[in-house]
Amino acid sequence: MKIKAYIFVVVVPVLFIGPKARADSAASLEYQVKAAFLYNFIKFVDWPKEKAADPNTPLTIGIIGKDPFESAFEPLQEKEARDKKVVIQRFEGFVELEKSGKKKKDQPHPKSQDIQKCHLLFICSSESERIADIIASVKDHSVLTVGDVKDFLESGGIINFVMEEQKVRFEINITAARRAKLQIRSQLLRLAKRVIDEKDAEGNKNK
Amino acid sequence: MFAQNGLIRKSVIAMIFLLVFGFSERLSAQQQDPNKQKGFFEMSIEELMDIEVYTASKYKQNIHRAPASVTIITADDIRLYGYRTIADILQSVRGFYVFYDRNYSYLGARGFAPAADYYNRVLVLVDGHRISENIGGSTFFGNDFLLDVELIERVEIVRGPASSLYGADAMFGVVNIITKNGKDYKGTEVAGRIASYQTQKERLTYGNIFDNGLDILVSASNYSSDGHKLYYSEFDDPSTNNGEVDNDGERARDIFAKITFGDWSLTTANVARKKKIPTASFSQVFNDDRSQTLDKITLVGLTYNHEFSDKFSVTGKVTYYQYDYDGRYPTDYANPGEPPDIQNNKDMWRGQWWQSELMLTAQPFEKHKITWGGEFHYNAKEHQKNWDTDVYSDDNRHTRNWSVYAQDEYSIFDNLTLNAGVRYDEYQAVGSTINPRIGLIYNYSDKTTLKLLYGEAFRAPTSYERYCSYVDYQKTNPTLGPETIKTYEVVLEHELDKDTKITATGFYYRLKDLIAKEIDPSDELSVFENTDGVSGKGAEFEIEKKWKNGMRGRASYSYVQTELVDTHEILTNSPKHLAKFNLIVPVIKDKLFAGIETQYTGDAKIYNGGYIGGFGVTNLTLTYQDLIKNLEVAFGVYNVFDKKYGYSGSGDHVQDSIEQDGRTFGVKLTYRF
Repeated sequence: MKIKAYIFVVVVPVLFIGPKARADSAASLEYQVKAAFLYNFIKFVDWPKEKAADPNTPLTIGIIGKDPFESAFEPLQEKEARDKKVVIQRFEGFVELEKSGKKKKDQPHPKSQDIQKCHLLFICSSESERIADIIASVKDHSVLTVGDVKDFLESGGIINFVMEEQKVRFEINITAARRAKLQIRSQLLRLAKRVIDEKDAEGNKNK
Repeated sequence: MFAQNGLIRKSVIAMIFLLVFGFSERLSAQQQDPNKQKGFFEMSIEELMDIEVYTASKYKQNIHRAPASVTIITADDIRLYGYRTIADILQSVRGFYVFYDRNYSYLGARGFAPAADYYNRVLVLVDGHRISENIGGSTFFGNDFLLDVELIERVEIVRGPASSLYGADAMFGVVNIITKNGKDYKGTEVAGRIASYQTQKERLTYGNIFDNGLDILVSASNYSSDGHKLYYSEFDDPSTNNGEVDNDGERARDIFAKITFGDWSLTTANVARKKKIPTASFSQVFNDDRSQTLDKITLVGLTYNHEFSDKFSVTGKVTYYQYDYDGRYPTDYANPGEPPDIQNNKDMWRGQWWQSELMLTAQPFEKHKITWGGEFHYNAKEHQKNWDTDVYSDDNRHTRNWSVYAQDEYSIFDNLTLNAGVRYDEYQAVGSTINPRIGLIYNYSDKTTLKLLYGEAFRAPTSYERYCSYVDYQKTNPTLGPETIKTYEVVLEHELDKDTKITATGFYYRLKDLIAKEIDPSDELSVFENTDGVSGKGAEFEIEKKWKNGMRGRASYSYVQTELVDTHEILTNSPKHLAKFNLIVPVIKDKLFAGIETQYTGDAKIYNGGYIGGFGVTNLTLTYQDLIKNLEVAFGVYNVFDKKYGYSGSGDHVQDSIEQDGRTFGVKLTYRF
């Protein structure tokens, strides 16, 4: 009885650890989930009519800097948000440009007009020293700036990802959203871990 | 064992069914679209927020900066490893060990769990509220724990002395148990479990979060078990039923309710648990079915937490705790040679305490995060009574204590933090104590952290130790002072890669004025005294790893050498070696999981001077999620290899070693709607 139990209980389950299923896509689970969050943010933010009126213009998610998402956005090729297609555009960050020797000191970032056309701009952590510059370059173009570094909101970013016990959360700077003429729907505000309003200089945490 | 044959056969069939079902699932899955999994882009934000992602160097900001080595056990761990009680959970944790005397479960840490009466040198909290009773100071880890472990969101185990922040009892660590919220359920959940020895448990839980943010969770559980028919060789004599006893039954029921709204949170829990005692402890008559203990505990804890800004927050807590204990101990008072004079001795404790705490955290300067606060504790009732034909002891009193504390987390540089704290506690009629703690945390890189820690902690003598007396047996000692401990620790945490973390620790502690029961030679009565004390030194090593397919596990080894300072003898119930291994294997992605664990406990000296051999126990749980929609089935085998082992008895037992369970089985169904 002892040996039989051993076989059933230990050996048989081990047999099921067979050949691994095909490898997960290259991006870590964290960024796969964040990619889905960015898609959801688009659904709960309203852009001013000038930027979002044309039904044939796709919604653009821009990624500037060292891209951690890799192939995480692949499923979006088949999806739509707000009845429009969603496209991804990648921009090299300042760090990458400096490495390749292309950037000259004090030059405005190339392709800044393209960045301004994005609806959502994700600023990668590789650009954390340049956040203020990037946000300044998209000022007045109603770009929803998203980041995942400390003090992103304090630097003028609109939505910042934070980790809480290995789960993804986000916080919102409502004043920056107003400056960018973006309306953030209450469904999204309600789920934010923290919403800061620069005017009142007070934060309130939703648990 | 024989009575189980029917259950074993049924369980093995259930298991084969699960595996066959699983296999066919897997085969069909391979023929389908590999993307049949609900993609992240199909999930709502709420669902996305529920996903646990493993982030490398942001392992947990708090853990890295905490002046301690921290272990976290999650609700998923509890579910997939088939943990039934807090004892099961803590038994899997590096450096900790639990033991059971067929009446209560006890916790040992860093080699310290001598065979004395009650163990409370690890502080246990539920949602931040202290849960030890105020007469013996004990915490309950078995089916007498305040709530069903299935309601636990996570358990945080913070090792080392923490009296500088928490006060009494945090000598070897703090275990904070955080409960789930209604939003983790959003509906009703019903669970039923059957297991060996006619054990069954039912639970009904309802939880929800409403549009205005009000979050409610209510739950009730009921547990019963016939227990084992046992044999004790120490009682093998015709006059004591040849050592056979059938008095191991247990019943428990608990009710839990939690309401959270905005900054407010109210946790209420109530448990009533009856356990029959088979061991004839405390010189009872053997095999008398009146032998039992009944424990009832109520906790009401209210917390207010408000973040005024990033840099200033306030927490206020009020706790109410009530403990009612009734023991029945059939005892033969006849002298040898006389005819038996058996009385059903009644032991009663009634305890009640209130505690209020205010804690503030501020960051007045960029580099200093300061926490300070105060606590006030009032023991409204501390009533101990023991009687049958005579009243042997009857003591009722109320006492109070209060404290103030402060801590500064000073970021000297971006990668160097100094954490310094101190607390002053004043106990009515005992005196006062000051406990500092200082830690230097050096983040060598975002992968490596080195912590150097020194801390002092204490345990105040309990009402039981100071005032309990039994005529002709035990006397009081109102002059008892607190136990104090000084600990030095080094902790090294290193991430080998994104998915692998290793921890190595070394520690030395010196515990003074250890409160122990001694016999006063002048009158032969038992009395609690502050004795010379104990020292311990040891090292621990742990590796935690995650794999891309979802498999995750940890393995640890701890070594500790303890000794009584005056005689240099090793402590009783202090195994030198402990090893733990845990692994969760996703047999079928998102569907079928196997939770395997093995715990090895080395030799330990027992109460009579002998040794109990080392033993290893392996547990295996198979969990099938969404067998049909919203239904989960779990099948557990505990002590898979049927290892025979026992824990040390104490001075209150005739038995040197109390044998534990052999192989047992359990099946649990959980359904959500």
